[in-house]
Amino acid sequence: MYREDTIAAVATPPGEGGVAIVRLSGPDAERIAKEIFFRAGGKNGALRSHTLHRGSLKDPRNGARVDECLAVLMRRPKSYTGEDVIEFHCHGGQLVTRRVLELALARGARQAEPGEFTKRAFLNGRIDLAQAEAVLDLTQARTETGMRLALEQMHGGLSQWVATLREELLDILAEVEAAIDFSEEEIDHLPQQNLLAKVDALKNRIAGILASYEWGRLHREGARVCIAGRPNVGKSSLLNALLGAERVIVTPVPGTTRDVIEESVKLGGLPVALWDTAGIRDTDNPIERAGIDFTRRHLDAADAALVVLDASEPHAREDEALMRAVRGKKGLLVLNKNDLPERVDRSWLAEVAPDKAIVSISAKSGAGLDALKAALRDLLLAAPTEPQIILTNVRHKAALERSAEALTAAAAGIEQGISPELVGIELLHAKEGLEEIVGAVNNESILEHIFTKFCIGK
Amino acid sequence: MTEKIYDIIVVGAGHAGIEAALASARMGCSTLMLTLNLDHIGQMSCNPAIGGIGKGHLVKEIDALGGEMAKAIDETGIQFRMLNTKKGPAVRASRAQADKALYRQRMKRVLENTENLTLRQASVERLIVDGSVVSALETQIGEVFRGRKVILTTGTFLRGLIHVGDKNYSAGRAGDFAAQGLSASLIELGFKIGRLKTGTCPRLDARTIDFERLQVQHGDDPPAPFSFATEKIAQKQVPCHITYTNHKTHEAIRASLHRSPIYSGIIHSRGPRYCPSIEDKIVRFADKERHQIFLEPEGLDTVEIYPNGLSTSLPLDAQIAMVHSIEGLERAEIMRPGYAIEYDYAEPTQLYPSLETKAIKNLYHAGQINGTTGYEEAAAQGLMAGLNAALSLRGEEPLIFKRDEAYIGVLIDDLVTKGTDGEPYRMFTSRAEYRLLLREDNADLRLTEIGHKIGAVGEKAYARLERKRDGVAALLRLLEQTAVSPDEASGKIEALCTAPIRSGTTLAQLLKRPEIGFAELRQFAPSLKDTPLDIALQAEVEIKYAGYIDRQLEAVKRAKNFESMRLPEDLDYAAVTGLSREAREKLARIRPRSLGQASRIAGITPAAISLLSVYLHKRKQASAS
Repeated sequence: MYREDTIAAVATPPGEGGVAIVRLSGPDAERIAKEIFFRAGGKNGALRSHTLHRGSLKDPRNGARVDECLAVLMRRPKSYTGEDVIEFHCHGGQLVTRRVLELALARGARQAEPGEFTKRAFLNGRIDLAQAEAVLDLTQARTETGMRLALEQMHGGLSQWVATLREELLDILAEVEAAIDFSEEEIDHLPQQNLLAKVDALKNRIAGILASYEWGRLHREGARVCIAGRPNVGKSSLLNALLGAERVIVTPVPGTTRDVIEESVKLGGLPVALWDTAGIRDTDNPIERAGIDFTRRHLDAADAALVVLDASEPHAREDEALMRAVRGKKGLLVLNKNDLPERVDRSWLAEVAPDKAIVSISAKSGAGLDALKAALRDLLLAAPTEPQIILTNVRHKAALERSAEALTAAAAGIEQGISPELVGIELLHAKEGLEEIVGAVNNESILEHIFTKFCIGK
Repeated sequence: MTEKIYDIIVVGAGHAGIEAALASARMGCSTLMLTLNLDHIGQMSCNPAIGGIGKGHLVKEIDALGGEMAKAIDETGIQFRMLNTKKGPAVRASRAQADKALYRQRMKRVLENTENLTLRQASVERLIVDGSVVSALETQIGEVFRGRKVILTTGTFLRGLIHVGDKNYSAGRAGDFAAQGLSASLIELGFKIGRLKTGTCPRLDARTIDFERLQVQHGDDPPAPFSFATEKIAQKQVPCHITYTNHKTHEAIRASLHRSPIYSGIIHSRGPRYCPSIEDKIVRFADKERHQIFLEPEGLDTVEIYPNGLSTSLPLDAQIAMVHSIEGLERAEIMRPGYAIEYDYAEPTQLYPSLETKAIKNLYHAGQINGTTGYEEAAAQGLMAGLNAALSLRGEEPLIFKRDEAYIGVLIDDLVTKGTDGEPYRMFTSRAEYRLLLREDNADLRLTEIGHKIGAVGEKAYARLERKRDGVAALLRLLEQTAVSPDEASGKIEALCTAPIRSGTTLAQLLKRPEIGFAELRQFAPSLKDTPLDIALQAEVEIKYAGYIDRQLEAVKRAKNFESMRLPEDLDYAAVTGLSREAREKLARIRPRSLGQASRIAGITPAAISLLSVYLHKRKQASAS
């Protein structure tokens, strides 16, 4: 007969810290704990659940003491995973935690896969899918905001929000379904116009949340910004200036930077990966050609581009090519070398890149850099303030997109006057999208809504 | 003791009992039908009508499977109306007023003329069980009938208790005895028995109603029959009338609410919310100024009128005051008082989807004993119980419809999976997630072949199905292959207010346009004028709704994995680690057949389903290695 096995892993992040936690979860957790953990004062007997016990970890084969620690047993189902869980709070440091983990593995536990504790918590119904995913996000979050978002989601922020939307959708469905199943009853049906307005309002709210995905994604994964420009306009100098250290070789020979160089900076809490790329220009040098193709690919993948121009020179033919390459891409025009007399034609810039703001700087002196950072941050985060709910997960995004699409189709159907059971199908699809995020609930609830709303029954 | 052992004994001769007994006898089983009163076979205890939205669908399915209800109403119906005609074909539904007496007589005649079927008047008091297998029944007067299978269709008769105001008395319905002993016998066998409530209207004397002042409602002309076998409705048709309650009515009701058995706390059991009493309606929807009342004739040869919408259990003086406050009913005389009735039912989660009980082998429950309401819901279950009992005697697999195959499948799956939750269960189209596939018009195409295969459907019906199927296929071919040129279409197309065509366009493409139905299409292809209506409708639906139907079919396919993942009957849920105690208890009690069914049990979370699927997967791996 199959049974879940017992898994073990170091639960705290790697690196040196004061305390590290080794966690075991599964049916054998308590048995293993009894074999390797010896309570201070030689007290025997079962460990009380949800209580900290002081003692030491010893290898039962030779009695060698591995570490002194605190142990806490959490018997199921009141534990993170819903199974028996034991945690050893030992001294930090990789050597100690590895030895503790090895002790547990030697007694029959299995090294946990990444995310496996959370998976078990989900499978045991301790957390819903959205919460489970939030935990995984949390362990991978790169910024403080990202971490806070994940925490909020874990505590059900998104779930609650989706539940509210679902209730509203059920209300609309009740209207539509009542008109089908109770068409013989004399009930006050919502006029089509009001129904349409309700569907539209719901759709817009979902659209608003969908827009927050970008905000959330940028905070979790960091933004990618590509620095582009023809050779020798000062791209690498700009990168160095933004980083505040000499990292990239800066030489006056055009075409020095052939690879793409990635560096990370923070702009007001937002992590940004800066890609310094080969200059775009016409060249026959095959190595440099490859670098330029690479640049174009990075331009496509980036969230925004910093288009660097030499302010002290009139625009060159390569600049024209560059402007074409960044058309439609979110970006800023960075006029470098503003310490020299300006000779670039601003009216030409306004004509070829009307969507991009101009920031004038000197990478050498540092002038204008703060303004550039602020402008870049504003550009990346379309919403200046943090949205109330932030989508961080691509599965949630896809599900909400499906809901929004179905609502669009429902609205179109209502406008065209198609039969209500067909509108109902679209609304059901929209409902399924929402339920994918928090788990499905059965069909009965539409009827519940109908019965509370309408006087049914001849 | 009688020595004869019947194959199947049906207890009850209401709408469930009739279909059960007929199905059983027609499948060749020696069948005994026991009823408390041979004069009341097929009685409509409540409203004199068959069908309705969702219910009409059931009647058509019963017909497609060889059942009797559709044919009976076609012969005895006195007003036919197609409902939801302004909506799509999936939610259009048939409804008909019945002549109650004719309906009863016709059903009795059919039963009496069916081979293998014996009728007896008897009150069954006790089930006789060997171990956990039912073997015989004992009646009130000590007579014992032996049978291999027993189907209980007890309706509202199990310890039925009628309430009018603060008065109550034991009865199966007004005018009939209740069955007193059988519930105790079921409880003794370990069944969980609950109590439900329903109610009915007072009946009025047509001679005292002022119809002149009331709105008339006529039926469809020509009336469309229920049965795929009926060509024409021959019965005389009559109208219904419509009137409304008013604030005086509501005042009269409010003034006597404290004497209502429900509001004074005598009745605790719950009635159906979709079929509330008039006092419920004015309490729950206090700001509604009036409620509609349909005055439905109970038959051609009687003056009794059923005022649909006036279900009540108020004391008689309050009923009279209420009736007299209504326009057209000022002088109306009550011939039978309205009443509420409480009765025992057995929670249907105690059944397999075959309708056989889990606790007692060879025992089947069908109809209101399973907590449903409605003649149609009862008949559908009766039919399935009869067929499945007969199949089981032959050693064959039970017939279990999936939710995408039939409303009957939805009905039974809901009952055995979710139970009734303390409220009588009625069919609605919104209960069917694959509603576009389950239409009245294609019930024969969906089910008749299956019915024929098991022997429930005769050769004539099967030949009719084949004709229809071939006809539809041929018509679809024709519509796809026949093109209309812009020249041929000119003039006609403009007259229909639809966009002109620029090049040759097939009839099928034209039919896709919202402005063009099959009737309009005939202008472009005169050869279509002889196409039978049922075939034309099929082709029209298949072409017009192709996109939506395809999407539902895809959804069926997506769910199929889930639905076909069988959970072993002997699965030990205690061995599935991680399941909550509640989930474990529910799964062990309901014992779902598939993962899909498990997911529909109330309170079973997606997490529990993931656990089960992981468990099944591991188990399969373990047995493979």
